[in-house]
Amino acid sequence: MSSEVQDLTRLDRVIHEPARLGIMMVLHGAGEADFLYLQRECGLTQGNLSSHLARLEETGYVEIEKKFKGKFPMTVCRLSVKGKAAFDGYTEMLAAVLQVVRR
Amino acid sequence: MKDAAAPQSPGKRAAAYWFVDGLPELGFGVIYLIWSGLGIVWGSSPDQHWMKWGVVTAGVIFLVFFCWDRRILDMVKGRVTYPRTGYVRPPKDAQPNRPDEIVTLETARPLDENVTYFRMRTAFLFFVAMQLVTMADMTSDGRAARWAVPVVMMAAAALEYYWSREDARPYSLWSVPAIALAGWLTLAWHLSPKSTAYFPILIGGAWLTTHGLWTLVRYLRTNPHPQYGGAQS
Repeated sequence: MSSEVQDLTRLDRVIHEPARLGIMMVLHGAGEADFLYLQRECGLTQGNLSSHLARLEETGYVEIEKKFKGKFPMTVCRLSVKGKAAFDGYTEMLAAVLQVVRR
Repeated sequence: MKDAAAPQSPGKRAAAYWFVDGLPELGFGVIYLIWSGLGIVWGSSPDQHWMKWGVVTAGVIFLVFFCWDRRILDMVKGRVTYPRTGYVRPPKDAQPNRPDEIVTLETARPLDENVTYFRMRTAFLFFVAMQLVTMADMTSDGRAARWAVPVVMMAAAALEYYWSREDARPYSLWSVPAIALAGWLTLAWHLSPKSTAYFPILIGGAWLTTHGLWTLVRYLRTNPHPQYGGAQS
């Protein structure tokens, strides 16, 4: 059991924060989404989402692109290759821990 | 009419979001309505050769929309939907023989869940129904076309319900019988076999347009344009 407990400390803390986990989940499932969609899906305020996205971008997990759809400006976010790998690693590790808990 | 079922995963929610404004249904529905309208008029008065070109043009427009629906709708949504409720990647076409894998916590999620069958099944089905009625017309010298419509539309209704159950845009058991019922109602309309062949896309067009309009009106009412929303608050 102790090794699994030790595994918990190796969980990626950037992803482990609930708001960032939500953002990563949405981007992982949707492929790409803009700021407004993420805000609605995650139930975060503009400032909160902004700061979490900045943190994820800083870590290299999320790529942010500003572009126009017609005259409408959009901030489109998507997971980077590094972000996808980190998210998959995180979910696998969490699943292993949960398996032990449920045993 | 049933709302898009609340899907569990973010990928399925993203796929359902494509239909939140009813524009995909409205797009296919309106094209089918125009195409069938022109086809029925042309079938009733075949001497009007200019009408033939109208039918051909409508067919080409359908083909263009069928091939580039996401690109075209994405442009429209850029004005209607994205400023109101945001943008998410349009869903890809689902693989027809994708195995129904059970996703558990122990497995990673290799599947792309932002997918839909709408274009390849829901919208295309009425085109196939039209082809079937045309074939029935050709093989029976026009005698079977009239009765082929209700039979084909009953099958279409059953397939619409069955296929859409697991899709991003499900249709309720109260909605699809309208397709079958409309098929039977066409028996009261005596037209030439050539016109009768267009009944499936007329029914499909009316059905899809009704769904699309209803969804669009409801969406616009619940999500006012940001500049108006801002002015109110």
